[in-house]
Amino acid sequence: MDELNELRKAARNRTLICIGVVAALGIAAILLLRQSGDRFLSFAILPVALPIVLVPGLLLSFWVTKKPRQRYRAAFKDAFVKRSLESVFTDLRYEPEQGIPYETIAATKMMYMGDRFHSEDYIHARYQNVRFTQSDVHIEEEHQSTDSEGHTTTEYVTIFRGRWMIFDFNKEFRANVQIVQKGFRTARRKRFFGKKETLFKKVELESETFNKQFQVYAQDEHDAFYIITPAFMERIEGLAAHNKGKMMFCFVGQRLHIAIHDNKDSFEPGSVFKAIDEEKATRKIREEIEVITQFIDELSLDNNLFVQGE
Amino acid sequence: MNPVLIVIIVAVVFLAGCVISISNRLNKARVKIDEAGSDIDVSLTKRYDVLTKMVDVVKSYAKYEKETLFQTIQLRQGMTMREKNEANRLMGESFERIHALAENYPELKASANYNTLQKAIADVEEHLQASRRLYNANVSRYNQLLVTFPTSVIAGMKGMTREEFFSAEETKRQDVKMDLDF
Repeated sequence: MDELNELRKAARNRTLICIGVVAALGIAAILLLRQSGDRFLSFAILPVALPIVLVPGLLLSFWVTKKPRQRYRAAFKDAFVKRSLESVFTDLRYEPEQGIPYETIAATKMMYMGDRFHSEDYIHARYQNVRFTQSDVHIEEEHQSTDSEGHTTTEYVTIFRGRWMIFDFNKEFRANVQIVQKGFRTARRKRFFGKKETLFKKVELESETFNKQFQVYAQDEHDAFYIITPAFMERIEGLAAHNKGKMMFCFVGQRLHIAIHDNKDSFEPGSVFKAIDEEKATRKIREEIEVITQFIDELSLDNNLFVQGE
Repeated sequence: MNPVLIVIIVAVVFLAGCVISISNRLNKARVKIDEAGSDIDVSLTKRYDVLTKMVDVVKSYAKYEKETLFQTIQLRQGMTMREKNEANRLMGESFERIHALAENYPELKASANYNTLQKAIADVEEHLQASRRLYNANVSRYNQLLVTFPTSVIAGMKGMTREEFFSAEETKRQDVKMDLDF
């Protein structure tokens, strides 16, 4: 803990120094402009001059503080996250810098993959003997705009940020099924053109409240009704009420993929400017772990009653 | 051209379009019921297959006649929903009888075959439930179309009538004898 605090302080101090240097540069630029004598000119140049000084300064600060922040982050994950994960899960493999590969998510063919993909906090483990994988995932889309002078600027807009979880599913199904909560905008599936058995049809289930909240698509209606029982619908409604963010459930190749778009980056340390509160940090990590376990518990994924040969 | 005639032609074309569209909607709803009905047949067959396997396993432990374990059940193509309900009910009774019997034979209950079949039963029951819900959802939608205007008018012209739901009705017809002929 002391070592972790030392790393936090090192990162904090480096950041403070950088902020000080950048602020000093900014003030110096303002003073220099004021000394020029022409007050109007100095105010007119200020919006141009300040970014010229501040932007490279901030970029340099980011680069200079990156290593100590990374060291602190890695130590935090090792001390808090890994320890907490080990206390809940078995057969654990935790790789903070790795994530679920792009190809795995793209292979579901149920998600718009945007233009830039990043994934981290890879967890592969077992809970109640159910095997699962999870990662934080960030997907961005490239947006280009051209001003009146013909200058093109490119920016990346977040289209998905949250968790992606993959669970072994306890029912055997032939066709793929997708449940999309209304408001989850990056869901995709093939509905037109192609082999009939691979196309998705919209399925209306018998629960009006469920149909109002979720849209269901399936390659085969029977499998949708087989997977989504009335009890399962109620549990999904409960999970949606309990979780912030929008969700998508994809049943693909005997696995259940769950995406939660909540704009959160989980298993991260707090600000370097705040001293670590061990109890609070542990509680936060536990709550983030519960996001995984709640799906296994609530959806009874550990119930292997329907899987032959188990 | 006379404007009144144009209005009449447009109205007739519009009406014909509406009638065709409603008629197609009703036909699609009818086809979906038939498809879901076939789905029930598949699930019932699966349930029957597991039941016969179960009977064979039970017979190897307890020297019971096949007929005492389950009444002869006939599954054939083109069964009405009432007949399907009846066959399903008989299968349910047979399963209950086998479970009750297994309680008296610990070796049977502990056997790997019996346990594998128990899982298979749970799975086929889930598939049957799925088929039943899918069928009933389609029947409900179809029946609603038959009573809502303007589809009710076209349905009446086509002679379409309400469809029966698939449910495990308690019809006390113990004397039903059926032969396997699928």
